[in-house]
Amino acid sequence: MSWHSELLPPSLTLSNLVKELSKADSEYKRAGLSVQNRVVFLGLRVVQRVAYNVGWAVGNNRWR
Amino acid sequence: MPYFKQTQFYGGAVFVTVVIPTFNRASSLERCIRALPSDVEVIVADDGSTDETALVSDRVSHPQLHFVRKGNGGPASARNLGIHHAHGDVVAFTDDDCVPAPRWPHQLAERLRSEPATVGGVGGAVLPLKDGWISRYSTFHRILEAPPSISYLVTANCAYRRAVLNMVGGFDETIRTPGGEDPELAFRVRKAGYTLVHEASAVVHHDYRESLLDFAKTFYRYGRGCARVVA
Repeated sequence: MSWHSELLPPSLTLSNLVKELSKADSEYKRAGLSVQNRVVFLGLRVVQRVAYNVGWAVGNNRWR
Repeated sequence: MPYFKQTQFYGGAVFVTVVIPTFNRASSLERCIRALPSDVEVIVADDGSTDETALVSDRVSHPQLHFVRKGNGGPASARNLGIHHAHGDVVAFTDDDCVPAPRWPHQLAERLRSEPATVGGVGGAVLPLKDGWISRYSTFHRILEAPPSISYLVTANCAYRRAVLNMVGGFDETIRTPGGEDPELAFRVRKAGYTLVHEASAVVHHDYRESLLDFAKTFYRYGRGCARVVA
């Protein structure tokens, strides 16, 4: 179902992570965030991505 | 479905029930209830708390406050218990670590009343209760709000028509930890033919925990629960 695509995480590869962080940083720059703010947000983004993907992997194994 | 009541109308007016699932957060629960207007029904669904949650009903004065209690089974089952006891045409949801704005439940209900019957639910805006990096990040990314596509709602701040909740059978109680149950319900509501809308003026303030570990745990639970939705 196409609605699910909003929940589906990208694979946790370095290349995907770099793309995601690059896109996020562009958004932060457009919003006028300070360098410090951007760095903190990018760090949180990494934590969010890794945590969500690990949870997804565990959930997937559980529900199969 | 034996679990849900028929919709009841009171003089034709939209009557709102606020359902708050809770587990071991007595002080923030009290803060949440105190922020609610007195002319809405409030149902606190206690998911088996072991702290002083049961004493909150004695400490808070609200003319339409009801506490219902069950064994610990997760927020989905707690919300369903709240829905089971609700009388409102509209059931609004928030969490025990949120502080709703004064007219919040009415703003959600009024939005639903102004929409055609094909609109099944509405979500609102979530602002931070205090400042901090995780609060700022979560607010910037609108973590606790519906996505721009409004493909699902987040139960920190949303409302559904009770008839719609009855029809789809409420939340999926097999999702026992927070995360995933919100989009899972919303997808079933949409599959049943309803649409969802966003009401930016309906605001709750969320008390984000400024802990990196809690932040990581939250997204781990979201991922685990959302995998269930897609499975």
